[in-house]
Amino acid sequence: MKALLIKDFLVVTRQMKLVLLIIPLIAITGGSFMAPVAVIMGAAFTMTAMGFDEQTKWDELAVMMPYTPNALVLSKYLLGYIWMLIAAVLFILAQAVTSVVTKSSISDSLWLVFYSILAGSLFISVSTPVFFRYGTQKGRLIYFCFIAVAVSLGTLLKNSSALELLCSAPLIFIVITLIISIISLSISVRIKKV
Amino acid sequence: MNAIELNNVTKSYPGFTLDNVSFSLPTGTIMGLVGENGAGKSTAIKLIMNAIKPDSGSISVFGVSNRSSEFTKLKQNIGVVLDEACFPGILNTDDIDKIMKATYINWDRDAYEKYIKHFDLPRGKKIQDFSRGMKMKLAIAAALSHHPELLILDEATSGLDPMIRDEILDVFNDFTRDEGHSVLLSSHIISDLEKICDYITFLHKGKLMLCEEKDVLLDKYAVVKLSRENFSALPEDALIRRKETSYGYDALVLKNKINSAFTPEVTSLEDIILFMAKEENK
Amino acid sequence: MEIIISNANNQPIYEQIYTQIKSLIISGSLKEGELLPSIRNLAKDLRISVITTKRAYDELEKDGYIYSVAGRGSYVAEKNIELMQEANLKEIEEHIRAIMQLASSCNLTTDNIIEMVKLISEEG
Repeated sequence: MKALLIKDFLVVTRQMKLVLLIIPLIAITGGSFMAPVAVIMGAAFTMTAMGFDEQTKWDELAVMMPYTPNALVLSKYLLGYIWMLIAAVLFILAQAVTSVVTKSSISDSLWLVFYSILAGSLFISVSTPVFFRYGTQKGRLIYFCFIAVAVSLGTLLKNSSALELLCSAPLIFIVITLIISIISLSISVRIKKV
Repeated sequence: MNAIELNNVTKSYPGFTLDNVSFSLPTGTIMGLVGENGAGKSTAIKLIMNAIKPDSGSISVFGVSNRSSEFTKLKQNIGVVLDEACFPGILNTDDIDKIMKATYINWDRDAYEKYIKHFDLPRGKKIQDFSRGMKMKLAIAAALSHHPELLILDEATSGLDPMIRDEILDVFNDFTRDEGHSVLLSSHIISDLEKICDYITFLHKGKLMLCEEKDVLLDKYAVVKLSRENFSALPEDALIRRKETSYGYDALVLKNKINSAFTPEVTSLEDIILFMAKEENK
Repeated sequence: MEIIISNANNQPIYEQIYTQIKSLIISGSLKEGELLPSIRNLAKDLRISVITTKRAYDELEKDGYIYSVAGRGSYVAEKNIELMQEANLKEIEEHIRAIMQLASSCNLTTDNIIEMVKLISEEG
């Protein structure tokens, strides 16, 4: 498990340097409603890493190495969660810098980032079993659908009172996200177990 | 004890079936798995490593069922090399060291360094910029540096020039100086296997054609060249396969069934396998 | 110990090992009680199959040229060189008898055969 995380971390940081620069950039230029995009970009690193695995056939070798199906699956989910958090932190930092300059509040952004993380987790939960089953090539479509939904949802929430409503009951959403994540994990493990 | 044992293993895909295959690799020996591309060699290796599930039959490695939960731990004792290095191209040899150290309990950094030096692999260079030969050498270095007792190689020497193949075969040869070490080596280059293998397993279109001690094969079969006239004099039970040529027949025969009137050619393992593969020439 | 394996040779590899070790023993290059290389190491040095090498050693042991001690290895057996050479002579005699038989079936005289032997040995 540790080995798999090390491997993905090394691969993703080397291969995706550019994305790590883009995240603060869109935070500064795009404003707070770009939060879902930035965070889901981080979440999508699961997909990216799985794509690289398929390209180099690492996935074929890994199932023959002393990794359990649980470790193979969980490491990919963790990778997504970790990068999502990194993206969120980068985004907030960039926003904080701009808010000092423009003297505006970032509390709205914080809420947006919080819900984006939930949305990102949902993305990981929905897409990863599909990737494990059908590969990232065929599964890629899901990513674009999800981004589209997230962007429109983000825009919608920004200009409505729905955001306030959501903010009043964050716990329910955390619980729902958790339950979906656990279901998704067990489906993925079942797929990976031969 | 057998390092690997397959019992009546069947696995079907659309258009291909690995059909009721049984063979075993005794500990301390090298087995060559031969057959054309698509004969089922890779499928057999995937089944052995429990990467795919057989439709029926059972497989054990070092006496442990490969479907049991114990098998993941047992994999610590196995080195696998596939037909590509399978390592992310963006990484370098030091990154592989870090990953393997976290993977294998017995990872031996010094041994790894020694192989890197022995194979003359560049440090710090991205794997994607390696030649195929260098990539495969790296994969072999990584597969050996946790001191496994069983080495499984799927077409690891194919597409390499003869000098590199020779160098790699030497490493496998040295690996089996320890009598607890076993190797299963698949290749379609039969001449590579002819010398160092103790056993030859021949798969053809998903069927097990033979699994035999290499020496027995070479003792048992021979090719004879015959005119049409002489061909009819060949004892019926001696003939295994025949091939019509412009002057008569080339025939694969059982050596002990022919008398001294027939002179066998110098027959290589490749000759025998090529004849065996042509079922229509019975 | 020098053993040369030839692929071009029609003689099976285990037989090549057998004859070469046997002649090293008879010629005295391998001394009585001398430890032979282990089967595995010899196989690996010659880059041939372990089973092939084991077969050669088994044959040598069966014919009394070597003996093995479990866990220690194989040694050159105590031997009576005269006896071995006598055995070789006997074998030669048998071959000659077979030659004579074949010769008489195609009306060759003993002189013809001697002539042939001379010719062949001159050819080297």
